[in-house]
Amino acid sequence: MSDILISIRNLSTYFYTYAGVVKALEGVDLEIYKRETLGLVGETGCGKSVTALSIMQLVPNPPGKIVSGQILLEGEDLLKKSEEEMRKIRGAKISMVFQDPMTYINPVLTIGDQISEVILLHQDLRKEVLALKIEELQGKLEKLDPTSGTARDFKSKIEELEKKMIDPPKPSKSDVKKAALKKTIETLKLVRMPYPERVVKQYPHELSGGMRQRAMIAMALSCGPSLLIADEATTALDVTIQAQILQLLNELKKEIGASILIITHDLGIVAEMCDRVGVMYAGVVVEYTGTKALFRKPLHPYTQGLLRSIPKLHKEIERLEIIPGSVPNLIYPPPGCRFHPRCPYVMDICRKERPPMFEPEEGHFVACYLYGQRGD
Amino acid sequence: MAPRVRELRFTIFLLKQSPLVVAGFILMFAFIAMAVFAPWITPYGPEERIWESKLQPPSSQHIFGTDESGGDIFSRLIWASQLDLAIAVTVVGTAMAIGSAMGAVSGYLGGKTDEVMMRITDIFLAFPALILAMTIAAALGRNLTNLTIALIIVWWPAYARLIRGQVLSEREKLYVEAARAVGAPTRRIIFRHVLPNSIYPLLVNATLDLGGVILTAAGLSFIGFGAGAGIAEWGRMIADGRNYLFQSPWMATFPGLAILLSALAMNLVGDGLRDVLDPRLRR
Amino acid sequence: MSTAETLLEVKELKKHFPIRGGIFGRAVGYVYAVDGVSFKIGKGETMGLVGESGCGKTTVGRCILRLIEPTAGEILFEGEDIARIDDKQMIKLRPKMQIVFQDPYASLNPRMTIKDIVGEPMLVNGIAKGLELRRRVLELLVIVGLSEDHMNRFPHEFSGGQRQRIGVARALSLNPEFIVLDEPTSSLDVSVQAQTLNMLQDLQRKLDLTYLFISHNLSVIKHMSEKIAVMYLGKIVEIASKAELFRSQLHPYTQALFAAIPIPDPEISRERIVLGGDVPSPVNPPSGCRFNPRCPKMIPVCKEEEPELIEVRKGHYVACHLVK
Repeated sequence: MSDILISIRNLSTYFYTYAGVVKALEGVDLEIYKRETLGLVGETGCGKSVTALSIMQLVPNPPGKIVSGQILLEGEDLLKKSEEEMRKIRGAKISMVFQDPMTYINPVLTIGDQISEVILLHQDLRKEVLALKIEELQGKLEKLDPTSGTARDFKSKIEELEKKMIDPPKPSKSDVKKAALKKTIETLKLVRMPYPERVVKQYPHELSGGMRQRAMIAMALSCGPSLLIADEATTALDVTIQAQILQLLNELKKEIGASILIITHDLGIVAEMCDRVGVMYAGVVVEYTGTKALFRKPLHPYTQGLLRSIPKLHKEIERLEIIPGSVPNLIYPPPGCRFHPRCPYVMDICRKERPPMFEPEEGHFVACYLYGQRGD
Repeated sequence: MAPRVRELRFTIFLLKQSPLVVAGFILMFAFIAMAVFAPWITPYGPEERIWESKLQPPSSQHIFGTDESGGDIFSRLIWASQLDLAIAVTVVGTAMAIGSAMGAVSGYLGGKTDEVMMRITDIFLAFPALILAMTIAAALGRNLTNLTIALIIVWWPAYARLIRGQVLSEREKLYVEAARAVGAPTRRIIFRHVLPNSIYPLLVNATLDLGGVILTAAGLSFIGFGAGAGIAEWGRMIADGRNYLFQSPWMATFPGLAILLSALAMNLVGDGLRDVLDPRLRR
Repeated sequence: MSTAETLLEVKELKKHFPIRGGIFGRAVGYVYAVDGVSFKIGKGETMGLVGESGCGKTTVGRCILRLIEPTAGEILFEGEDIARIDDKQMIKLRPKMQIVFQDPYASLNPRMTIKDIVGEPMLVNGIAKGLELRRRVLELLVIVGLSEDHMNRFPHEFSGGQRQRIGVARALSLNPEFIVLDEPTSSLDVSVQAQTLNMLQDLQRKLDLTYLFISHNLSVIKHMSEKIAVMYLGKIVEIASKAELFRSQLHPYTQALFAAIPIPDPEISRERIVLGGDVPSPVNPPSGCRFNPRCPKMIPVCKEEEPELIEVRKGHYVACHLVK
C-alpha cells in the first residue's frame, strides 16, 4: 500500500449559505496511486471541483467547510495541518491547473515573474546559485589563455566555490532571482514552450490560450510536485489546442513521475488520458475503477445513462437516451442513494439507506444495491 | 409576485450583515419620519416667534434653545427637515430621470448623437459645481425653488455620463441582440431592456447624492443663495446662528448636527446598497 | 443530399470588421472574420457549421439574420436576396428567421419575466397582446416542456437547460421557417444537452423547421446534421453530407479536427494528428491557403494560391490544392 500517494476517506464538505446547507460532498472515498492518472468525471455540481479544492484546502471559508474525513498524503492527514504547513505543500507537493488561463493568471506580471515566484517560495536555491556562479566563471575561463595569471586566478576561484557546495552560503537576492529564472526557463522547456527565453519576458495577454495553459502547467510543475490536479484544464481551449495539451500531459506523465488528477465532464478525455476513473454524482462517488473496465462494462445506472446520452463520433445513434429528472438540490438531497429518484432500477432499500461501495469484480467499485446487500 | 418578495427578503438579509449599514437605515428612516410627522411632533410652528424668549439656551421649554428672534430651534429644525429632504429627493430624482434618459439614448445610439451629448455634458461638468449652482441661482433669483432648479442642472450631467457608461457595456449583451433579432424597435430596446439593467450603479450614486445635495443646498443657503432670511432651513439656520456662535452656540450647532447626521445616514445607506447589489449579481 | 427546394443560399458572404485607430477613428486594419463563404440549405434540412474559435461561424449565423451587416456577398432566402434590403423590408422577414443563442444565461433579460420574454416577439410584431398573448405564450411553454407556473418567474430562477428551452420558445413564437442555432448546448451539462437536442429534433419534425446548427463540437454536429460544413479562419474548407464526411475527410484540417476529438471509448485507437501552432487570428490571415502554416501536408503552392472550393465527388466539396 506504499503505492498510494493520496488516500481520501469519508470526506464531507458543506457550504453554509443563506438558503441552507449545501452538502456538496458526502462521504467521498478515493485513492490516488503514485505515478497514475486518475480521472474524476461528472456533471456540474457533482462535487469534483470541490474535491480538488478540499485536497488543497482552498475551499472558500466562509461559506464552505470540510466537516469530516481524512486526506492522507503519504500517511499524513492534510486536514490536520495548519495554514502555514499547507502553504508549503501547495505549489510544491500538490499543484493545480485551472480552467481558464485568462482569468487566473495575474495580468500585470510577466510569465517569468509568476513562475519564478513559485520557485522562490518553495525552493532553497543556494546550490543552484553557486552552480550558476561556477558556470559563469567556467565560461569566462574558456575564453582565456590557460597559462595566464588571470586563468589561474579563475581556476582557484572555481575550486573554492566548488568546496562550498556542501554548505553553500546565503545568496544575494539578485543571485537567487537569476537562479530562479534559469529554473523557470528549464521548466518552460519541459512543457515544450516555443522560445522560452522570450516567453519569460512576455505578459499573459501576449500569449495565446494554449500557450498560457502551457505556462500554467509549467508553473504547476516547477517545484516537482507529487500530484498535479488539472481542473477542467482544457475545457476553455479549442479542440486542436486541447489535443496539444493532452498530448503534452501524456508525455509529461512519463517524464516527471507525478500523479495526475484530471477533473473533467468529458468522457472522451477520460478515455484517452486516465488509468483509473471515479464517477461522481451529487457529491458522492458512485463508481470507481480502471478506465477500460468502466467503458467496457459500466455498472452504476448513472454511468450507464451518462454513456448512453452522449453523441458519439464513432457510432451512429438515432436518438440520445436521456436520464429522466434532474440533478438534486444538494440542500435537500434525497435520502438513501442520491441517484434513486432517477434510477430505472430503484428498489426499496435505495430510498432508505445510502449504499456502500461494493466490489463485484476485482478493482471495480460501485455504490449500488444492484451489486450487493448491506453488510457485504 | 412571490419571487420579487423573496428577492427583497434576501436583500434585507444581506443588509443586516453590517451594523453600520443598519444604523444608516435607521437614521434615514428617523429623518423621514421626522419630516413626515413634523406637524405632530413639533411644539411650535416654523415661523413662530416668541420675542421674550430669544437666545435662550436649551431648556425644558425649548429643547434646543431659541434663536435671535425667539424661534424654537427644535421645532424649526424638524420643519426644516421637510424642506431639505424634499429638495434632496427632488433634485436627485429629477436629475436621475433627465440624466438617465439622455445617457441611455446617447450611449445606445452612439455615433454623432453620442458625441454631441458628451460635449454638452462636458460643458456642464467643466464648471465647478458650486459656482455653477450659485450663478444659476443668482440669475434666477435667490429662493429655494430656484436653488432646486440650479442643483438639478448641476447634477444631471454626472448621471448621464454614468448611465452612458453602463449602457455601453449592456448594449453588447446577448439579450439586447435577442431583442433585435425578434424585431423590437430601438426605443423599446433602450427603455425596456437596456435602461432597467443599467440602473443599479445609479441607485448607489443616487443615495450617496441625497447626502451630497443636502450638504450643497445647506451650504448654498448658508452663503445666501437659497432660503431667504428667517426660513426654517438647516443651512439658513446655521447662517443665522453664525453671528451668535459664541454666545448661543446651540443656534448653529443643532442644525449642523442635523446636516451631518442626515448626510451620514445617506452615505451609509448608499454604501450598504453598493455592497448588496454588486456581489448578488453573481448568481 | 436532400432533393428538397433550397430555403437558404449564401454566396461569397464576407464580413470584415474594421479596426479603428488614430485620432479620427479611421480603419487601420480589418478582421477578416468571414471571407467568402458559400453554401445551400434545403428546406427541412439541418446543416451543421463546425470550426474552432475565430473561424467565423458565429458571424455567418448573425449575417444571415442581418444582425450584423454583411460586407459583401448574397444571402438568398426563398430565392430573394436579403443581404442589402432596408430595415422596413427586413422587419417583415424577421418572423421567418429566428435564432437561439449560445449562452442561456445572457440571452434572457434578467429583469423580465418569462411571460414577457417569450411574448415580446409577438408583442412588437403586432401579432397578439393581452389575454391572447398570454394564451399563446402558455402554448409555447408547453411545447418546450415548461408549464404555467413558470410564466411569472425570472430567468435566474431556472437552470441552464430550462433557460435554453425558454430561448427556444421565444424563437418559435413567430412561427419561423428557419432557425439559426448558435452553439445551443455548449454551456449545458451532458444530460441536459441530450434532452435539448432531442427536443430540437422533435420540434423540427413537428413544425417542419430548417436549422443551421453552429457548434465547435463535432459529435453534436454529427448527431444533428444531414450536411456539414467545416470552417477555418473565415473560409469553408470542406462541405459534405454527414455520411460522406465521416467516411472520408479530404481536407487536412478536417482530418486533424476529427483526430483531435477525444473519443469516449478507450479501445479505439486512431491516427494521432496533433496540429502544431495556434489557431491564428483573422486580422492577418496567412497568404495563400489559410491553413498552410499548420498543415502537415503543405506543398509550396499552398503559400501562394488560395484553393477554390471544388466539388471533388458528388455533393462533397473541398478547398485544397492536394485534392483535385
